[in-house]
Amino acid sequence: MRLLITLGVVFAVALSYLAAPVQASQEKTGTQAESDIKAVQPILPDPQKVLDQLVGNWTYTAKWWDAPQSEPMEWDGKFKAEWVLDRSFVEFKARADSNERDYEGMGFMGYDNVTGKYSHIWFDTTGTGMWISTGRYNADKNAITDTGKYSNPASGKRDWYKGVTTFSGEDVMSYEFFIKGAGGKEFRQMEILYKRVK
Amino acid sequence: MRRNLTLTFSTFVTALALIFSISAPPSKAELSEPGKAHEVLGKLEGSWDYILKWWDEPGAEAGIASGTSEKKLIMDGRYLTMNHKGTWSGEAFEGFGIKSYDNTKEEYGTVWIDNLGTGLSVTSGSYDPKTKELTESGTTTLTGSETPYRGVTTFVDDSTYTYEYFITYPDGTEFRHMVVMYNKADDIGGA
Repeated sequence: MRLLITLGVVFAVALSYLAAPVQASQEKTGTQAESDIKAVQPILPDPQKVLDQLVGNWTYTAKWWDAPQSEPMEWDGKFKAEWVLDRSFVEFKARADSNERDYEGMGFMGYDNVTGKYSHIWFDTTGTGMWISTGRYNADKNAITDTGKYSNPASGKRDWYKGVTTFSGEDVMSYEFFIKGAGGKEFRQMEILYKRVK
Repeated sequence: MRRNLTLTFSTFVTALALIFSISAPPSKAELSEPGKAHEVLGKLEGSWDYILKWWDEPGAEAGIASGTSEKKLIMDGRYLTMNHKGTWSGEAFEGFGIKSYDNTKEEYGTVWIDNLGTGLSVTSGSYDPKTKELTESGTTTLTGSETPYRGVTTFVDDSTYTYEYFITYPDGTEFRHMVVMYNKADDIGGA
C-alpha cells in the first residue's frame, strides 16, 4: 500500500514537471493549483494539533536511573502546559510534590516553520544550563523525538541526549530521556508518566 | 622546634589545599548552583520601559517600537525570565526570553521566542566587566532563514541599558538591525 502511495506521489511529481511549460503559459485556477500541490506534498499532521495534545494540567510520576541496573529514584509532581505567544509555543511548568525533592522546571515546545522541526527548551533547578533540542514527529507512534546537548553537572561536560514524548491517549503521555552510556550505547536514564487532571 | 614543625605542617596542608582547590574540577553541587557570575543577571532584574529602532537594511529609514519588559530572577537566581509586551508595526507584540549563566560552559546564554515567528533565537557569550558589555552570538530563524547574529547588552548605569542586535550577512559583513534602549520603570509603589 505504502509502495502504491509512493509510486503515486512520484508519478504526480513527474506529471507536474512534464506539465510545467504548459502551466507557464496558462493561468490556472486556484482550485486546480491547490489540488496539484496537495498531490505532490506528503500529508503531515498540523503541528499545532500535535502540540495541542500537551496542553492541560497533569500529574506525573518520574523514575531516574543513575546506571542501567541501578534501583530507580522515584518522585511525583505536577505539570502544566499552555499555549503562549499567540499559539507559537506551548509553555511548560513542572514542580515536584515530594518534600524530599525540591524540584522546579520550566520549558517550551514549538514547531519552527523555517526548519520544519519541533524545538524544545528546558531549564530547571538541577543545573544552571539550558537544554535545547530539536526533532521530528512520528505519526505512527504519535511521538516527538528530539535530540540536543546539555550541560551535565555529573560529568562536567556537554553531553548528548534524546527526549521522546509519546502521546498514548488523550489523557496519558510519557517523556523518556536517553543518554549515551558506556561504549556509546543508549541508556534510558529517566521516564516520566503523565496523567491528565480532569 | 615543635612549634616550627607544627607551622611547617600547617603550611604544607594549606599549600596542598590551595593546589587542590586550583586543580580540582568543580563538584556537581558547584556546577548546579548559581554563583558570582549570576550577579550579572541580577543587574537586569526589574520593570523596564523600552524604545527600539530597527532597520530593514543599511540606509533604510528606521522603524520605531516601544513597550515594557518585566525581568525576574527565578529558581534561586539560576535564570532570568524576560517578558516583553508592546507594539511592533502597529500590531501587538509579545516576547519571552531566558538568560542563564551555564557553570559548565562558563558562558552566558539566551533563548528568545516571540509572536513574530515560530523559531528560536539562541546565543551564548561572555561579560566584560571593564566595558560592562555582555556579548553573545548565535543563530535565529526569526528572519525567515537560519541567520547568524550577535547581541550586545551594555549596562550604562543602574537604571539604563541598551541592547544592540547585529545580523551577519552571507558575505560575513555585519549590519546593526536593531537597537533597544531600556529605562527602569518608575517604582510607583515605592516608599
